[in-house]
Amino acid sequence: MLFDIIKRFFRQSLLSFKALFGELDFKVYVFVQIIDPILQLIFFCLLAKYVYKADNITPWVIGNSLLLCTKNTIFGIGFVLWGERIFGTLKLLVAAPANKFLVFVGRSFMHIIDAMIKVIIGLVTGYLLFGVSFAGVNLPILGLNILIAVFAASGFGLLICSMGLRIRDMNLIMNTAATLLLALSGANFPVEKLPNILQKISYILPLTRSIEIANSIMHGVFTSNLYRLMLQELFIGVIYLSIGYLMLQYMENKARKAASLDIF
Amino acid sequence: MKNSLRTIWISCILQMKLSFMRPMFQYSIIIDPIVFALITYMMFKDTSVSNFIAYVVLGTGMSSIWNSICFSSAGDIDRERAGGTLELIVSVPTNFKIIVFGKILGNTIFGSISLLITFLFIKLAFNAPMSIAEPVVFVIIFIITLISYIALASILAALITLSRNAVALKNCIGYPVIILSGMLFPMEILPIWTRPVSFILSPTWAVKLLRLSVNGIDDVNSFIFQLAILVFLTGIYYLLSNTFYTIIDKSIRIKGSLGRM
Amino acid sequence: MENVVTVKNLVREYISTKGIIKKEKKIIRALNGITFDVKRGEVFGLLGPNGAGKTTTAKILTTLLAPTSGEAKVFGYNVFGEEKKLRPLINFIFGGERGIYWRLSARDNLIYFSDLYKVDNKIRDKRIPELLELVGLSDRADEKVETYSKGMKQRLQIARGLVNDPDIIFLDEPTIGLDPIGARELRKIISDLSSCGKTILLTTHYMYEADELCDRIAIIDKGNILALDTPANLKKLCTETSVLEVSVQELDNQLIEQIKRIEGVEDVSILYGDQLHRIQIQCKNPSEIMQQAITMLISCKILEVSTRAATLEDAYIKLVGGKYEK
Ligand SMILES: Nc1ncnc2c1ncn2[C@@H]1O[C@H](COP(=O)(O)OP(=O)(O)OP(=O)(O)O)[C@@H](O)[C@H]1O
Ligand SMILES: [Mg+2]
Repeated sequence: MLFDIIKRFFRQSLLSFKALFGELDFKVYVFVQIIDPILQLIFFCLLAKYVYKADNITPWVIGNSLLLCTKNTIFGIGFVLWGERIFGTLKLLVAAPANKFLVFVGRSFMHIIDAMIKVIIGLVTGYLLFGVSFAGVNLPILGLNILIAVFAASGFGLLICSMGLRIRDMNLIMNTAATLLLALSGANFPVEKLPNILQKISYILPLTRSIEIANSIMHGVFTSNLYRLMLQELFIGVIYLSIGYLMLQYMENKARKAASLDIF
Repeated sequence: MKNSLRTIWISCILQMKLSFMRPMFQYSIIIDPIVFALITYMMFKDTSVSNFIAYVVLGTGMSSIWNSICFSSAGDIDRERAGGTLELIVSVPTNFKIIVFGKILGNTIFGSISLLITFLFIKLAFNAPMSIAEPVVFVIIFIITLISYIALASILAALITLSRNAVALKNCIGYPVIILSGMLFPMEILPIWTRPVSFILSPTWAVKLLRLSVNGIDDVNSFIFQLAILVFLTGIYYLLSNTFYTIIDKSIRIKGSLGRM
Repeated sequence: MENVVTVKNLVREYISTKGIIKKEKKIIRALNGITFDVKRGEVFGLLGPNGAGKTTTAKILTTLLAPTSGEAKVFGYNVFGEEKKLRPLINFIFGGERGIYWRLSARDNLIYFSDLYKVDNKIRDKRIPELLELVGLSDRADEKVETYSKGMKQRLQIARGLVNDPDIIFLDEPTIGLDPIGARELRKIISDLSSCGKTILLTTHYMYEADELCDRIAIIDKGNILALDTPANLKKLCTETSVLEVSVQELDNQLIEQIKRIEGVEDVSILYGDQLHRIQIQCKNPSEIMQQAITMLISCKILEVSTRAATLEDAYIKLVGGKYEK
């Protein structure tokens, strides 16, 4: 029974991952999902290297690597429901007896794994191109931090994704969200430099804390303060997930009441 | 000739109409350049780079125009293919390359708007001073730069018409050109082996020239030399793209790759 | 009469590759050396099942595809090599909703394509309202195409295909996906165009459409032309024969073989369905064999028995084979 559920979970996840990327061939996937984001990382690292005349650009490698997960956590997950609408399968899903939240989590699962792999690819790129050193770094803690970051970003993705039920141009929303994270998460310049109000936004966005933590870990520092930040990031993820979940329910009810399922 | 001009004009207008109605396009000419400018401004601020506004505005502006031209022009061909109109515009009596030229021109105009937006944003948000040493030279070089960009974009559009892997191509052409041509940092900081590629990219020279006209031209001879290279490369691009469009006309019909994906 | 389209031994092959790592090349022969011609002013139909090569033929003739070998000429111009002279004279409409700009209005679409066909401004300004009138879109001409129904989009395609007042129009399944009334309206437009003297080459897989509109029909399957004649003559392939149609719930292939052996039976085809299967028995005199056939089929749960004269559909099925599903 439990085994069945788990099997269904993985099948769902794999299928929806395939539905999104399957129509692209493998080459396109590599270019769009890996090479382009890596190029963006390289660009910002080079820029930092020039601007700050810095030899050690580890912080930029770290920050931009973590940002790589947005390809999945925002675009991938955001596309899950939106894609259903495009292909006209959303109304089937809404009408199905399954718990929509679980369906959604199942479908996002592959994206979380893929996102972690992307972050690692980013770090490896930093190691190869910019000589980032992982000597003396507590790798398990770093891994845990990446997992929490991806989780929080996925919660954010769900919130955006639930908007996909009503907004027609998701591309605009998703791109704007990803760009905001690029600017406000502290990956490329310290959050403290931002105007006050933008700083506030930074700290309610996912990834800001994770990037800070990752940088400390890279310095070989971990204090109890780091664990507190990790918990906060986890909490942010849970909040986004909850709001996203409520939005999903609300949108579904609303759509059913307004008999507007067909606009999906 | 008159006819071609008219075609260029109408397809330029049509392109602008079509683009403007795409929310994504508004993202790429307004939101993206502004955020990009914000990031670079924040990075350059408090550093030792002198007249960094020139770097920020020029660099982000040139990058935005480049992105807008190459991304949109590539995407447009892709959209025409998906919408089934690519077959139509390839088989009308009007030369396909003239239609494409009009489209790219439309994107260029929009792209220039994003340069203006970047400039205004930096000016208004940070009240940053900016001065151009040689305004007239700057405008002339800027126009030549746009002409050169258009040539590059039309080569790109040709490749995308030929290939179905357009998405891959268009997504991966933005940053390399921005990096290699030194739009935001001098290409001299790159490994030496990238130099040859930088040299054959016209944006490399365009950016150098624009920066010089902002900062002041010390060595007129070297300026003219670089200008000559820019013009020469642009000429080569036009010749190349012309050849490509001749090949396209045959090749797509032999391969049968015009239709839906 | 003068030939405006001549096709001789036309072959078209597609090469498709499969697989990421090990590229496997596969050659698909879409046209297998077909020969036909179309006369000025006639409505010529290409009728055939899915994948027969209809679209491929239409694309070659409209200069969109190069022939692999053989000859294809329109108005005496080679479709590959002399397309510059040819393109202003022709136009084409591929069925479905693609091929127009959805984000523009109908009028903008027509203006744009007029310009691309280098239509003179004065002529254009006079022609566009006429075209909009012809396809019944005058009152919604300035709304975005996005907001149109499928039928309206398809009618706009027709208008688009006429912006350069072409001498010959190629239509690839123009009525696909339309409701019966929409399809009828579209057929009316096509027959009006024909009476204005336009040459029309039409592909379809609807029999009645071909029957109603076409002066001559080529039945094509797997890249070969199986028959080419007027609808009346094609029907004659079967007219001496009539059709005895038996609807049954169950089917036994052995019985079918037995029926085929009954004297006087010329051909047997089966239309498979979900609820029932229709066995169509072509024969000279149905009343003579009815007794025998029904006795044989009695175990198959007969639901209905009827006889009728042969139609174009019977000719089609006879040629293409009775394996196609309803
Ligand atoms: N671009 C292509 N690449 C590979 N094969 C193709 C291509 N286009 C068509 N084919 C193949 O050529 C054959 C003929 O296709 P064509 O589109 O001409 O058929 P059709 O008669 O128009 O069918 P339908 O009624 O389904 O539209 C088919 O087997 C098809 O798979
Ligand atoms: Mg077809």
